[in-house]
Amino acid sequence: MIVDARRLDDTVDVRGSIAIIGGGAAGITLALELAGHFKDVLVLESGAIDLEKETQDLYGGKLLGHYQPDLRTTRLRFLGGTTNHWAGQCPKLDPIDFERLPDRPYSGWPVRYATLAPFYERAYRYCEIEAPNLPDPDAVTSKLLEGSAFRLTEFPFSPPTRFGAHYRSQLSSSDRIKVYLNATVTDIITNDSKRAASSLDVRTLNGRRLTVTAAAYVLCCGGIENARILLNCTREFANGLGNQHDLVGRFFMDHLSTMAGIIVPQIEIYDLGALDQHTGARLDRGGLMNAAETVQQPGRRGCSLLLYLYPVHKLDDVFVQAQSPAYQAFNRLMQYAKRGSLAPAFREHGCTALEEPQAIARVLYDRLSTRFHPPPVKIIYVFMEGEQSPNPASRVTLCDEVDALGMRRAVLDWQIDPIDGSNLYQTAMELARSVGAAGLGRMFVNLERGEELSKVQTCWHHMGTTRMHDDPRRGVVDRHCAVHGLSNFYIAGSSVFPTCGRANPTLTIVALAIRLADHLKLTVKSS
Amino acid sequence: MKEWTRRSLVLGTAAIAAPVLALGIGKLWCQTNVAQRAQLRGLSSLMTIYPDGEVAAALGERYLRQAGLTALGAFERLQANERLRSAAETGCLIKTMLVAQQACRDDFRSGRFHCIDHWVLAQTELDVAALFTIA
Repeated sequence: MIVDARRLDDTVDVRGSIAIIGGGAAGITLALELAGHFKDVLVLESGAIDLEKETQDLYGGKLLGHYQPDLRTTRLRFLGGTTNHWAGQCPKLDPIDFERLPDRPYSGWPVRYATLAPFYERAYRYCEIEAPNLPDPDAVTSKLLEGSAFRLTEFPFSPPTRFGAHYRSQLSSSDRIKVYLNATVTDIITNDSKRAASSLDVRTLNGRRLTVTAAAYVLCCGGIENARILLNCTREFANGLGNQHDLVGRFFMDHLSTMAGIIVPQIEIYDLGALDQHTGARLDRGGLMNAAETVQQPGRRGCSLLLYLYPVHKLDDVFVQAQSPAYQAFNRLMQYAKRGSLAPAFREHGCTALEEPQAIARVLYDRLSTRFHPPPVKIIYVFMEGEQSPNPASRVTLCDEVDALGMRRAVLDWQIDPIDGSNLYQTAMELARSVGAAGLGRMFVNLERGEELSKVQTCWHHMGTTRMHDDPRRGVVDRHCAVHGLSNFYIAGSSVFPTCGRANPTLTIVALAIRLADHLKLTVKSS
Repeated sequence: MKEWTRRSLVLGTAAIAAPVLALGIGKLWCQTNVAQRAQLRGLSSLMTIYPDGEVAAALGERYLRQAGLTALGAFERLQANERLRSAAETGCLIKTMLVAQQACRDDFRSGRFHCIDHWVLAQTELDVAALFTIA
């Protein structure tokens, strides 16, 4: 059932077995998993079915440190959360990402890859992915990988699943799940001993108030908002909930995106095969990443990276036109049409597409002709996404400015260790070396030693602010995602990642949510 | 008639010896240079990997400056590569090109490469570019 909290009475008491705060990838996955076990699962979503400006404005905050876009841009506050604009990349974390590396402070998870592996398999279903296989390396890929520090990895793609739109009918038809829209949690109340959460204060922008009571609570509001909500709970805890060791908000991580360079092929390449990011099947596409052995090399301080190779078959304006708003809007409409549904904001997208029909026609003609008579690849753009090392100085705090519900806004201070930039440079050079050694061509490296961070951009992957560690002095949540010191309060989402690897976070978020659901089924009694 | 003094004898000898010595050194230098140029002609087919000599010379200059090397050193390295030299001496452009490409691949495999103006290039091709600075 889906309820608009703005239409409830002025004050309402709501009870359930599990209260899930946030209706994004983690929250919806948890609700669907738990509905098989509990008959009264509550989901408290701050937004509505679609984007609304007033609600989105609750995300506003301040920025310090390395450049990040406005906090209202990178996240979406309505049902489905940020999956409403994700691209769908679903790689898994690598086993090495879970290890504690000796020359890399704060690295490693309290659980191993094997612990999460079965949940990854279950997570594929939620992201509409068939079990991916490692793509067979073709001749070009094999040449490139021979004797290089890279290896091919699984790189499955979700359609991408918009969790809100895709699971909305399941949520609304379920008599075991109750989704409250426009219901923003403004405070978390604990019991007398302060060892467990006892209720949630929930408010709407039109002044309704709800008190939500459950046996267990799960906070799933994203990498920045999870920390912000905990830090805002100062009624009973001066430093915020779960923040007895000043860890909430620290260790903010993002993936480091940069254009690594351009490969100019020396031989005629028509198809990059497993490496191709433009053509080929949407599923099971390959990416390149640093080999685990390279990750562990002393001096590199551990960094896994993902390389995207974009071949350009013609050095004309088609590549530019493919990036035009008209073609992008058209592409969006097509993505939904293929799934038999209308894209959200269909009219806006349609109008944008109609502004430049010639650009769309040109790109489509080029795609079609390239499919039948592929010209050789002229250049290959190389984009790179690297891992950020955990850094306690990179953090989310609060400023004095408050939002419409009286909650202090977030301040994001993104700090990147220069060694991470150095890792990007070394990897670009290693790729250039591999390209030359394979006789594929030469590479123009777009990075300069010591100046790499000036070209690093965000991937909009917010992680690490309520990190997982068995020791309460080193982490906010334990290995079961329970907040240290609270028996019934959990956190789901990328904020619990202690090390982020190079994998886009959504699949791991979903896998962790399923794992947490299994844990809650065993430990929480049905009300 | 004025008598020859020891001083005038020394000065006279020096006046004759200096140009002779300069001539000798000059001839020796010319001999080496001519020999180098002759050998350079042997490597000329290798230099065809660069269609534009001016661009190659500019690249070669930047390479030598950045790596702290000399054109003579580059020349000697190319000379020392038996396969490369004999391929170049045949004058067959295709053969020379193939051998040069293999030499570049070997360079990359062995870590002999430089990043010049953001381009990551093999030492062999950079050494060839360096030849244009003395050609």
